[in-house]
Amino acid sequence: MGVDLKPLIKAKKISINELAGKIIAIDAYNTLHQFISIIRQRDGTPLKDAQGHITSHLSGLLYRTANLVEKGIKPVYVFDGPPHPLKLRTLEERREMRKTAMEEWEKALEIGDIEEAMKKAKRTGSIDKNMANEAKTLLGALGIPYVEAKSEGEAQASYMNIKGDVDAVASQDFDSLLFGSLLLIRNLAITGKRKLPDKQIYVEVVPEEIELNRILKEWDITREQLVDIAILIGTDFNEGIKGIGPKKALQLIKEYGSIDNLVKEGKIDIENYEEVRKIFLKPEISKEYKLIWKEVDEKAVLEFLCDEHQFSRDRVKNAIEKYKKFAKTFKQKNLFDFQ
Amino acid sequence: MFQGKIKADFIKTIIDATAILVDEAKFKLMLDGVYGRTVDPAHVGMIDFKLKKEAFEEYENKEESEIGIDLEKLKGILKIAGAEDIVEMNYQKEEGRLIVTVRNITRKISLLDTSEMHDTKIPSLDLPAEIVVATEQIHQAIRAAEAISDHITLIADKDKFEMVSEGDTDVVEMQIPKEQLYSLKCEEKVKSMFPLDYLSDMIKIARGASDEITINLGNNYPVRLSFETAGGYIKIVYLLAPRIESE
Repeated sequence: MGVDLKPLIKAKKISINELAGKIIAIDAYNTLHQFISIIRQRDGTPLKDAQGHITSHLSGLLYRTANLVEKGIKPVYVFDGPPHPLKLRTLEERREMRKTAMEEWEKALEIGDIEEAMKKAKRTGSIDKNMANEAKTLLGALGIPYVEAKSEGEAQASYMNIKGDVDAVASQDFDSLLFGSLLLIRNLAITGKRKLPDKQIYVEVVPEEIELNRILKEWDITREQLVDIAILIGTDFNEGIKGIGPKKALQLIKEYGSIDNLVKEGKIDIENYEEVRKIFLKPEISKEYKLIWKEVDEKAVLEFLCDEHQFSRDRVKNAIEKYKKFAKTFKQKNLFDFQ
Repeated sequence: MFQGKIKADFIKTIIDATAILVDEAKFKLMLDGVYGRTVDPAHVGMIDFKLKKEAFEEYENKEESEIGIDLEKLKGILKIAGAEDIVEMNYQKEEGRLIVTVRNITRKISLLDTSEMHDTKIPSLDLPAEIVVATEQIHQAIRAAEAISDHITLIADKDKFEMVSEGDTDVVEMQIPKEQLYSLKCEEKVKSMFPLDYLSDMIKIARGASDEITINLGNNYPVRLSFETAGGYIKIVYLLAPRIESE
């Protein structure tokens, strides 16, 4: 979810080929969550193995990541650590929403409304710790690195971007911009055809890039001010102010400079804003991480996906070929690595 | 205004040498010759060439300028020229086109905008070993290696130069002792691995241009390949980034 900056931000559509050779930190939970909502059967049931265990997240991870490495992208997945206490409210709300969606899905199935069932089912998915661990096991076998964040994954990914260890951060949320990501890529793992809800229309989803400095320059604000704008709208860590949407928030911060001034002038009353600011501007991050891509362990992948979870051996083998080809490219250095 | 007449063979060498890395390139028309430096999109291979005015039959250039060329277009007209034919090239800034004449056929080639074609810097490399060897020998080793693998390791020590390529099942090796090399300067053993596709293309160009090639080598480091033709008035340097076996 994250902060709703969409109405303000003009993303630039790009071709996935433009990302060749780039190292991209992928918000793992965000991406796995998308897999679990999208990768479903027609009535909304997620993919399952013979034991009834959900496998949509593993299927997405294997095949979508294979598409990325095939394009020469070097992915690294970043997993969330324990949530900040201020996020608990958001997490509770999400749980409630999933519960409601689950009931509605069941109802739709009962009356045989497949269309409605799919729509609701998409909102029921969640990634639990066990699924995250399965994803990590698969990444390990595929030779794709992952990083465990101290708290917010996007904060960690953004730090790696600022430091220059990765070229971009991939997430559907805009929060990484608040954390300071220089380049945000949206739609990376879900590129392709997607059906619009309630319509028999398919749209082509292409990656989009958003450059932090371009936005700041265009709006003539600082990153600190962008964070203040987000706090006014509402983030995962605070509710925001009723009646203030993205446009109004931008206008207020441009006019008053900061939340502090708005509070001083008696324009607004807002709780915890200094704490929320700190989450975005001085997040807890881990400096101990290594980005090393390894050769795919074919045997381990086949055992895990085909023997344990009954994936199609031929399809998995096809995907493994893409990882094998990728291994050759990452061993290749470029001339400017030696300056 | 730039005007030059040159043997087709010479200009073909330059264009082919660049075209193994890129489709479009920026050439600098200098007072003393034509210079070019281009890196391929993956930044794995680089060419740096100097085509001195002495390599031309006639060379006239009053003002330095740069032109962006679609190499396929230039190749297209050069195709009709025999090796000994003279190719005439004319460029006037105002026209924005390169006019190439082979015998009585003229092609006016529209040029590319060079404002987006950035100058390429040569990475400063410390390459401790230098081997001068017959281009043909390197070519043979590469041909044998290509049959079994997609990479090859170059190794030098104080006594010899080696090329080793390992495939899934087979190995190709070539050893040349110091006495059979034109020269060898190497104090400590050095070893780097390279992608065969790039190296093969580069050596094919070198073989067509010169009997000998100078190889500057380091440890897990880029290689510098240099050779000359046209009596030393054409100098071509390739840089190629290594593959690293494990990190």
